[in-house]
Amino acid sequence: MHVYYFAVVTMQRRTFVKVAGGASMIGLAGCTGDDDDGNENGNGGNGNGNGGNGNGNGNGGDSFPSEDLRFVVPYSAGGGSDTYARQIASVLQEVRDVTITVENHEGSGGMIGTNELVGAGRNGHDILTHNLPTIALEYLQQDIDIFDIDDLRGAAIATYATTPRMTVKNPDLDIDTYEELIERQDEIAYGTPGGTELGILQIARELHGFEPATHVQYDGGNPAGQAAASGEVDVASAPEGSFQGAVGSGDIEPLFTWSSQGSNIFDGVPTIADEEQGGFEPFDWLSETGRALWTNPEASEEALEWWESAIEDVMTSDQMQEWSDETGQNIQFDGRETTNASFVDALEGLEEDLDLEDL
Amino acid sequence: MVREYSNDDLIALVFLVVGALAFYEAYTEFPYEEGVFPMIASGIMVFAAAIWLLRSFLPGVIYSALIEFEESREIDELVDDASDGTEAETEEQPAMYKLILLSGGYVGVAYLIGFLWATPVFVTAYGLFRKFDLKNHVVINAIAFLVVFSFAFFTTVPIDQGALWGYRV
Amino acid sequence: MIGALNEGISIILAGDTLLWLALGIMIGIVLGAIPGVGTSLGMAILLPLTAPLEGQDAIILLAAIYLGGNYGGSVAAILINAPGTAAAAATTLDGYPMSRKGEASRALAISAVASTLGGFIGIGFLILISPIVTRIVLQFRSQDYFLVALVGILMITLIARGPLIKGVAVGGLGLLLTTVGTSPLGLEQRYTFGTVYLFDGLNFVAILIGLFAVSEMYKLMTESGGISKGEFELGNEIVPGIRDALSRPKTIVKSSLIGIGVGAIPGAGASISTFIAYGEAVRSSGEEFGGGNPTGVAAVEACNNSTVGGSMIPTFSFGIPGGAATAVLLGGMLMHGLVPGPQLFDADLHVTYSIFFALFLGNFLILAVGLLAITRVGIVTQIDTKYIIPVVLVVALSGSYMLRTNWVDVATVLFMGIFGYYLRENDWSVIALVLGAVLGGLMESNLNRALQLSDGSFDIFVSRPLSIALTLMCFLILFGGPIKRKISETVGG
Repeated sequence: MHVYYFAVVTMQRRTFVKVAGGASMIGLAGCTGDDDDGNENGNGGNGNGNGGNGNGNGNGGDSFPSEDLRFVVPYSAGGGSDTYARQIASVLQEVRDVTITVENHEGSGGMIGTNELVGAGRNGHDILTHNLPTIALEYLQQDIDIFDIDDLRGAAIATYATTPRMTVKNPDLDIDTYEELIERQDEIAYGTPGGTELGILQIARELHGFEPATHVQYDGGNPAGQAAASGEVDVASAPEGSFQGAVGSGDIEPLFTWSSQGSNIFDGVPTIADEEQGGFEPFDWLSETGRALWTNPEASEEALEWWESAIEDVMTSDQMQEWSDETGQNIQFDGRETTNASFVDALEGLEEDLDLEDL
Repeated sequence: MVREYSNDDLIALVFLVVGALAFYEAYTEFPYEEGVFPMIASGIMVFAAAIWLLRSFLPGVIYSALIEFEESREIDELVDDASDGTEAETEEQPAMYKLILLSGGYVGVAYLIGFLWATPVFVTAYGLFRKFDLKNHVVINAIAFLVVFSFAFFTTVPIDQGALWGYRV
Repeated sequence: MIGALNEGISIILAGDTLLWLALGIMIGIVLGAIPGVGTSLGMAILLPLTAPLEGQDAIILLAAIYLGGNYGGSVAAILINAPGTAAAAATTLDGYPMSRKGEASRALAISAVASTLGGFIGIGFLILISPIVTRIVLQFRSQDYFLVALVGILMITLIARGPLIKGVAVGGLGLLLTTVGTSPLGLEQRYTFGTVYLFDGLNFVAILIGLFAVSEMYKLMTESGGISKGEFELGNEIVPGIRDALSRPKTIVKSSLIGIGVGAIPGAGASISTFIAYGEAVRSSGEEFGGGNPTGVAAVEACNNSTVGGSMIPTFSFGIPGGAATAVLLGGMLMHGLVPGPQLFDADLHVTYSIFFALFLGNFLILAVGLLAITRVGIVTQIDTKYIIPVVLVVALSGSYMLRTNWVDVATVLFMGIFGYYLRENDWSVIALVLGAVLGGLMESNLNRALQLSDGSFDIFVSRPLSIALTLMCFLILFGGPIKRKISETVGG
């Protein structure tokens, strides 16, 4: 069983624009070029073969929303995404006086829930939470064919939280920098929860020549952290929140973050880009996970604008701030432009720079 | 014993065939690491089912260890003795097939119009088949509907909607 | 430790914490008793509603639902052969036959008393070992998790019915079923026939509901009258039931300790521990099981409530939920800013103690509700099955859809119902199937991890004292019986 558990973040993070991070690698390397028909402006495609539920019509009225809203969570109830979704939904009801229900459509790394959003034909009355670049990675890795992810281009609404990925070590290991880790990689057992970490490992190998002797995949970031604490592996890498408890008790120690933005939780953790770590080239588009929202592909411009401003109001509300302070969950707001750009980066970056077959 | 013989062998045959197909797919399609465990599991199935099918050709020692062991065993799982002993089974096999068909139909209708609305259809059909009187029809329908209604009411699972039609409660 | 315990207790006794505890236990018992719905779904529904509560009250409420649910799961298991939760699957083995004999109330009384005692012993023991629990957890490596799963699967040789070779074949099928879906080791999709709805594999609870509840309904269709075929006496059964449980202290203590130990294994703890406890009861007693032996019910029920305590260990210490219910509990911790980590057994031990102590108290409530109210539900076994069948089928099938909102689960229940019927009719052990299906995932991923770490060498299974002990235990289970018989033959002859 997959148990999705995301980071707990105690420190507030400033809103930032993150496109720049990955841009050097991805560039604007043109459209996808290969077998797909390069559907760049995704809004047009309808791609919902199932059920034929007449999309794109009947919302002639100028008041959005015209029916109840739905928040699709593609992971199980009680997980990290679910916790955020329920909080956002409850604040949204207050600030916009709308009715919104949270539905969990779990499975297949969030692809079943994404399919639910893409195929629902609800003209923007649904939103989905998923992660960047995970949504693209899952789609490509699993070779999903029940919907076309390009349909979602332009339908991203906001990014509401970010988690950098971090590497920790067993306290007895006498390695202090990424550079040293690479030097002694022949004796290193490296634990990860798989998924995005496989992509990180691949890019780290290509860019920095990092190839640990043993790579062991665990059922999540927390089990990987426990394995580093017990000494089963020497180092472990995962979203930083997975390590919070065990770092706090001293059972594992932070080594570095992959993201050049540094850690949200832990003070003074270096990044791979820092000089004393060896000054390696970062790839933040992959090593930093953003929680983001999408609406139905056929949503009107009016609906998109409504959502963007509603989510902005939610994320900057006092209730949300209090919740964040109380629970330590990190919150932020980046709007449509930034989020769609990150989404495109993820889609194209993954296709161009990752060898998915090799993961 | 003789009566069960054919069904029993049929099950063993199903194990053999399913196991062999699964093994073949794991061997030919999956990368080695990811194929090992499915191959072990399906290998066990094929091996054990084959031994069962060939049990009459087994040498005595193996036979007594793997098959005859039954008699000296002390444990029975889900023993049916209680019913076998006190009441002769009415042997209503056809009734059971009908129930299987009915429950399959229930799932089919539920797919189309949602479990909530398919439930009265199923319970009523079942009641007609078991010759319920009006009171029983009403009571059982009410209980079943209430249970599913509470699922729909307390959760956001779209249990009140099907592929064709639905009405949200 | 004493200071932390004191502080923990005073947290419980202040404010309205006890109220939330009681509410949680009651909700849990009801939800646990509905097959398919299970406790985790109920916890998930209530999770957002706990937002206004104090963090500890919220966690206690959720944990109490989990505890109550693990007891409640036995109710439907005993009465209609439908385990409400995975932890109650083994309760059906002797509990349901007791109902068939007309001893439903007696079985329910055993379950109430054994659950309570198991909870007491398990959680009491947990409170004692809390300060060193992290150190114990860190002793376990991937190979050890694999070996514990192997111990579980070898239980087939002890508790499966019919010819051994058939049990082995069915166990193989159970293991194979767990390989459906995206592989835990890479990205290969195995046996999914290309449908995304199978990418996450089959749901274990759906398999369980089909094999037990639905197949039993098909079977009941072939007979008439109530489930109970014996004389059913409501009032007179409770005291003998209490006596049954109290007269088996050894079984209950042993099962509770198994619950704590095995329950602490992330991934499948709650479901394996009960089978191991049952297998151990079978092995050590030499009595006949499976036909309604009270020891069988007591062993499983004592174990599954102490398992609740055990499963808190990985959840609290490293944030690793053992199953769906602890995953929601973890969500609750997250929501209320309680960070899971080894410090919960160290600097913040008082927080953990307050939760454990609340669960300890919760057992009293289980005893009261169990003996005073639940035993009366035994009357269900007197109702003509023709009225029970449609209701159970409706609950089982619609409930299975709610597991993941995935039609694959409904199809699984239906198919396993039919398949399970034929397996049982022909002496193919469905318990072996359950064991395989619950353990396959755990075995595969940990075996693979162990071999990755050792570079493919099997030496890793004898590389550390703990691993050696577990390996020896596997051999003992396999060959212990024949060796013992040989020895006694030699001595006796």
